[in-house]
Amino acid sequence: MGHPQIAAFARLANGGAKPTRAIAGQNTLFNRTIHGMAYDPVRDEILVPGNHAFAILTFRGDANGDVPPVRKIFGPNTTLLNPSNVSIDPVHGEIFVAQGNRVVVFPRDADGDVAPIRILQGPDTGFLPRPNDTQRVTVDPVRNLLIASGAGGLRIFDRTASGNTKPLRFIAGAGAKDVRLLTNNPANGMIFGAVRAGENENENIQGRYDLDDFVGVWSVFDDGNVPPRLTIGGPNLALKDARGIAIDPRHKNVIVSDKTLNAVLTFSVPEAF
Amino acid sequence: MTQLGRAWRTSRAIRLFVLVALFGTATQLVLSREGRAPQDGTRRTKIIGKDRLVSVEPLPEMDGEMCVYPELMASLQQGSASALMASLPQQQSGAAPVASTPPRRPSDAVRSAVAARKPTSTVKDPRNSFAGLVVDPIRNEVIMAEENNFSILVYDRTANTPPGAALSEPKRMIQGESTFLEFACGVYVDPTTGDIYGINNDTLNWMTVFDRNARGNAAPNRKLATPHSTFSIVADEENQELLMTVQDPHAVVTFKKTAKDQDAPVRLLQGPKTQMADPHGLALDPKTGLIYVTNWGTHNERRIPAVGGGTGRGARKPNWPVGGDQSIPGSGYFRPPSITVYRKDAQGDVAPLRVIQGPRTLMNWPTSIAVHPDRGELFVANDTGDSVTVYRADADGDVAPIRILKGPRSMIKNPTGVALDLKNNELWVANFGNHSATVFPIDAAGDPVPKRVIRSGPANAPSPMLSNPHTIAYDTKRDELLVSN
Repeated sequence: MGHPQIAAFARLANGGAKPTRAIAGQNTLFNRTIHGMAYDPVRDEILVPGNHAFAILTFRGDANGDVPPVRKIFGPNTTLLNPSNVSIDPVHGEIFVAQGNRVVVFPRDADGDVAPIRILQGPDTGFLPRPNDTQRVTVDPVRNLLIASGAGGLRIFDRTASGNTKPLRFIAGAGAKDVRLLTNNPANGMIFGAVRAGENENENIQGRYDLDDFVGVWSVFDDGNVPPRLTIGGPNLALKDARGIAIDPRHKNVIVSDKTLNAVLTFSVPEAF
Repeated sequence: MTQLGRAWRTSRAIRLFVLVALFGTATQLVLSREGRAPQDGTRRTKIIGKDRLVSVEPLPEMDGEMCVYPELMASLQQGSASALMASLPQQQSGAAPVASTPPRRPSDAVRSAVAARKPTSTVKDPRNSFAGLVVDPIRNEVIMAEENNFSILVYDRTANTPPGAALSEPKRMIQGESTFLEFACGVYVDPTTGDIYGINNDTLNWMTVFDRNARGNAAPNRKLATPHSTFSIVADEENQELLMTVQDPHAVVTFKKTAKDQDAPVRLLQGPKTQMADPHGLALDPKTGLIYVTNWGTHNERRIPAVGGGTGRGARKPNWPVGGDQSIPGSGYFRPPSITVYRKDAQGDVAPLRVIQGPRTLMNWPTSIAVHPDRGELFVANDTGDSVTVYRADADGDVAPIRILKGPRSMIKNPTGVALDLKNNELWVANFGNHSATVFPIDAAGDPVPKRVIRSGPANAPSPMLSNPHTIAYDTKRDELLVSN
């Protein structure tokens, strides 16, 4: 893809809408593509991983155009390696990055070459090395939980878990094992995961045009082999290759991006809130 | 009187003493009754150490999902830091969760209704977005790599969309699941056969070769497995080789022109000495035998395996780029954008012959490059510079462009592709930001009106520029969707 960017669209944008603003350009320090992002509602900041330069970049929430980050976590002490994701705990002020078979945590104000304040890693975590590694994490700051996708399902840890710690719960089974990107709603303890069913490698095109993806909804209290409580956008409805997932609790919307459709879809789902 | 007064004071003291004693006894009785096991479970007083009078009133049984800390959630949604902090619960990590049991599962009817619900809105550009292009002056065609709808489009070279027209239809469109095209951004046309070569930058690691008359959901005549994140492709017709930039491993790989399926590259240019950093554009000067690579500037260091060949997916292939799984943690760095110059047969970890880099160059995401051998000029498309900058082909160091094309009349907007028509002396620009390809005289400068324009949408149509919209977030302060490519 020729043009990485972070584009902002009005909540009700539809069709070929013009973004209200876009962050892009040499000063942003973005590289060829962006696979992770988090919005911090407390600081009004946007966090982006720098996959090539092994950095976490933080921008002002109203950033627009070719602007530099206000902070960057970057350097040998960070131990960052190909970061493709980032998550924020806006309440406790911590940044989480899934890194293969571990999760590293930085303080929100970290800037420069700083070491993680915690690392969750070890055989008891259930995290696996690539290619079955931890994909993404999200934090429930109300219940103090850390939820990780990948490696066969959704693992739920104490928010401050560190070292070789077992998850409190492990949601497995159809759906959960195929969750990549995810988020959660602390208001009701629900996890929203983009389920990429039948995900295949970059050599195979088979299945990419099938309407087999969906958004799965679980509770943070679910455990074991349980199906999603709700499925959104499919299967067999609208989603071919679900990628990103976000929620708008105020308007009870679930938003999902789709690679094959090259589109962003918004679903009204009051039942999930 | 004196005795009477003394007796009154004495009796008053006795009455006061009796009153205090009665009150104390009554209090003890009440407290002792409260301290016994409650009969109805509704209210109790506990005495723990020196603390007392801690009243606990059990909450009613939960029915359905629980809404916790409404002030906290409202402030999270509205992004109010002060309100958020004021409403924070005083609990420590590891404390008991807010609710300890899962909410009731939705009924089958609710599940079915939600699963069948269609989206209320879909942000998607219905138009084609030109990412890269190549001119076929022999057959008078221009071929576009199109990212938005995963296609390759062919137009007449002299097509010119009238100002009042909504768009120009392509002569041919290659698109569909059988084509093995996704985010194609590089194309090449064989001058002899007219075969069209396309490479996918993301999500699908194939180079596809189509017959020049292919259209619709056509399978490629052949396809070649490539490293992930190839961006530009050029051919060395003299040696019958294909060269490609590869972004993630910061490399240039060379294949035989006839390579197919799982054939390995014949040459690899990769390593810290090359100074490649997120390479994008690639141009070959057949006169000098030099290649030019544009770099955005981000990079990291990797361990080079003792035994040759790649790692991971290409582990058994010689000359396969060393992948990110060999990267050294924390080794990333940022450099200014650059053009690095090598011999076309350079291989291994070799330094560039020259580097064009520095603030005077005015490069800003230099995404595509073309070389004019006879004029000795380099043309660079600067995506976020909304410009095409032209340099002498022998430029070195921090040099200013000899010409700049930029401005509203030029219609150059987020150019991600640039190509030269050496036969007709024309400069072509693919503008990802406004659904157009614009054509200029080869020596154009300033803010020129294009000679011709091919548009895939109305001139004033907005362009969301979505391209593999991967991660998304919701900006609660502005009620906006944040979408990253």
